[in-house]
Amino acid sequence: MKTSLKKDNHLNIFYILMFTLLVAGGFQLGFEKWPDWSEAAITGTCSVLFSAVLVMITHILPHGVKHKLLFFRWKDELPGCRCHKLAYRDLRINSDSARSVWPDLFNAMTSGHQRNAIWYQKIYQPYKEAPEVQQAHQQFLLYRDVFSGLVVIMVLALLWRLWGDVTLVGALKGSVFGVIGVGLVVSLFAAQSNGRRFVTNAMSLALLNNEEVKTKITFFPVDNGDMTLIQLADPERTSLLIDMKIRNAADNDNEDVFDVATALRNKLKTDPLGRPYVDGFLLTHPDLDHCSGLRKHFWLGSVDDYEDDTLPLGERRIIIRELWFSPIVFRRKSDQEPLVEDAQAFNDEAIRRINLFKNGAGGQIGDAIRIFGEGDNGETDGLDAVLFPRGSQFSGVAHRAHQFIKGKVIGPFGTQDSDEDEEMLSKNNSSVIINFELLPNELSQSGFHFLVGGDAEMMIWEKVYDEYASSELEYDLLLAPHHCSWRTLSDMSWSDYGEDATPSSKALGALSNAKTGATIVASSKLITDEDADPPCIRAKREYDNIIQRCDGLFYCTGEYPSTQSVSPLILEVTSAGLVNASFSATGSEQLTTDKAPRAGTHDR
Amino acid sequence: MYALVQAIGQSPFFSFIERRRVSEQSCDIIVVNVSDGTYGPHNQAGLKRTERLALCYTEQNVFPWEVRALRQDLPVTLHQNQTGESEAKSLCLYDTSWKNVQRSWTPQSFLRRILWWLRETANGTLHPNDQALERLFFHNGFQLVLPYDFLNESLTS
Repeated sequence: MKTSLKKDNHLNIFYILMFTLLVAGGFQLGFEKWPDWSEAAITGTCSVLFSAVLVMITHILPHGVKHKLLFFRWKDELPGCRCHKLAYRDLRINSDSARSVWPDLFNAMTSGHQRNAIWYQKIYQPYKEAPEVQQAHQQFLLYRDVFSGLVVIMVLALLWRLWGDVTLVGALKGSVFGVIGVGLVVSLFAAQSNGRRFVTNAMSLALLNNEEVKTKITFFPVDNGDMTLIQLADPERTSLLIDMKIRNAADNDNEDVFDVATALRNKLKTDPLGRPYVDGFLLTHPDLDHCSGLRKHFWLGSVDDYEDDTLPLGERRIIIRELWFSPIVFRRKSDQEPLVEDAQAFNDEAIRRINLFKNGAGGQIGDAIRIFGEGDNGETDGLDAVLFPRGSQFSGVAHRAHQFIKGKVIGPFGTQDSDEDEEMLSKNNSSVIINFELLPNELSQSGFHFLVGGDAEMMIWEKVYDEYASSELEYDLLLAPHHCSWRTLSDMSWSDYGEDATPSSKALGALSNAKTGATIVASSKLITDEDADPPCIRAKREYDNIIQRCDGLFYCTGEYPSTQSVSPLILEVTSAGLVNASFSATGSEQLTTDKAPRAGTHDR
Repeated sequence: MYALVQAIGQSPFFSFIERRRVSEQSCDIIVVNVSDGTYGPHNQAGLKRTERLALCYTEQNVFPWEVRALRQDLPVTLHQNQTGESEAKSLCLYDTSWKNVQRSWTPQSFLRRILWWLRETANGTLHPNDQALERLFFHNGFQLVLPYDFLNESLTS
């Protein structure tokens, strides 16, 4: 955080005023002859000293006088007094929302002075450290003080012209006044524009964060892969990202692939230093379709070494405050299934955090870790405080929001008794499985269950069915495992057996504990009636059967809202259950995309 | 009808089930499943997340478009049209005459209106607080034009 915006502006004000004085001096004395060194030294020194004095004068002048001069108003001169009108003109601000959030601002009976006070206390104060607010504020102060300094110069020049000693520098030329006048006009417009921007930046930011706080779950369209963001309803809007997949094509403006990185960043909060962050990041298992783009978009390493502060906000790497990690999935990597580079980087980061924890230095923001599943060879010894074995329960993310998120660890499964079973536990089958319980808001008594299982396949779901009661597997929302793969439900290959393939009753049983109105989401490509797997049409049919029995809904991220144009699926947790909040107002803008025939032309 | 079927095909929230025709009443029907997920399963009105509806067009009717709910136990809610005892419930989508609606009616706006009715009914916000109460009696279709001094005349006579 900057200590003093005005102090930071001193040098810039000085440079601008000195430049104006030198140009004006050039017009007065003439540019055609190069002054001798003594004349140049005298002029330069005078300009420097005069500019320094002007900087001091700009600070001596009362704020009220400066603002009255700047906005040509005797009363209610500050833009905050007119913030309601500015809100109407700013396209970023939904004036209806603003009116409902701050009714007093839009009340005709509210005076300009009161309006400015409301804006200052309710809107500006909470967001005064936000980069966009701070930047506009600083620019406003800069041009305001430059304008004030130029007004003083103009007044002095006029006085000089009237009563000054003409033998000293001659009568002041019109061009001198022209130079000062241009400076006045430019600084005036810049100051006014930044003043208004300062007010509306704070309003738009406050409005963005003032939306009714509800727990939201966003599924990003990443083809076959997972990327799910949970935003909790706690005051800090704690966030948990489950897996990520940001392909190079999604970062390329020339490719027709949805820009998930920008969509994700738009949802994340930034810390006081302007660094984007997620409170928690869970990697269910280290496959490319669950961690692609990790090194490019996320900061891995100590936060003290963060290097992106000078980059534009959209390019700064995202800080992971708490890493959620299962050592079992990494142990089961093999020569046949080596770790991809992003997964290796994740592994290295996890080890860095574990070592810090073991040395008593872990747990800080950006160094915290949470481990799911016990290691077999003493890997997790001494990590009890951050270790959550299978069957255990946990709450919170990064030491907060404990009442808003709880979870039961269903998987990964540890060492198996039989070699066959152990061999089956590939990376996919070592996926972290968690049944989350999320609260809609802080007043809610009962939670909402979200079952996540990475890419776990049939064998694991059969084990889950055997070892857990159906009440422990109940869900309101299920992320269909392995991108709606048939292998989740059956070991009979869909491409070999086709319609003769039958699902495992146990695997199906583990995934059938849908509560009334449950939602199932397939994070996958478009599901077609072909041999593809994943996603597999046969698996979708099984999920359709489940949701039909419970009056639920099925979504596929690869075809939402339409196959031609995908965008994130946003589900909101309300007291009435899960609601699709992808489209803010009507839920059906998609319908209006095609030109419709006029009424009266029905082709009956 | 074809335009409506097309609009249904393009919408992610409507699934086309079948098309029917009731010859005696010259009524064309498109049966659809509707769900946009914008209301919760535990909504206070008791609507299901997916409702099966019949979109009916009867040219000779004063208001040719009508939407019927194909669920026997659809709850009685505000803004349903009067129907026979054994008939499917009818959603009241518009509060003005066909003459007014016709000017801006499109298949897309019709589908939007259906989604709006379901969402607002589910959330209990279909009837705003400042909206007039429902009429106790129906329109009879006739207008009686009285002379300007009718009241005076009737009082003096």
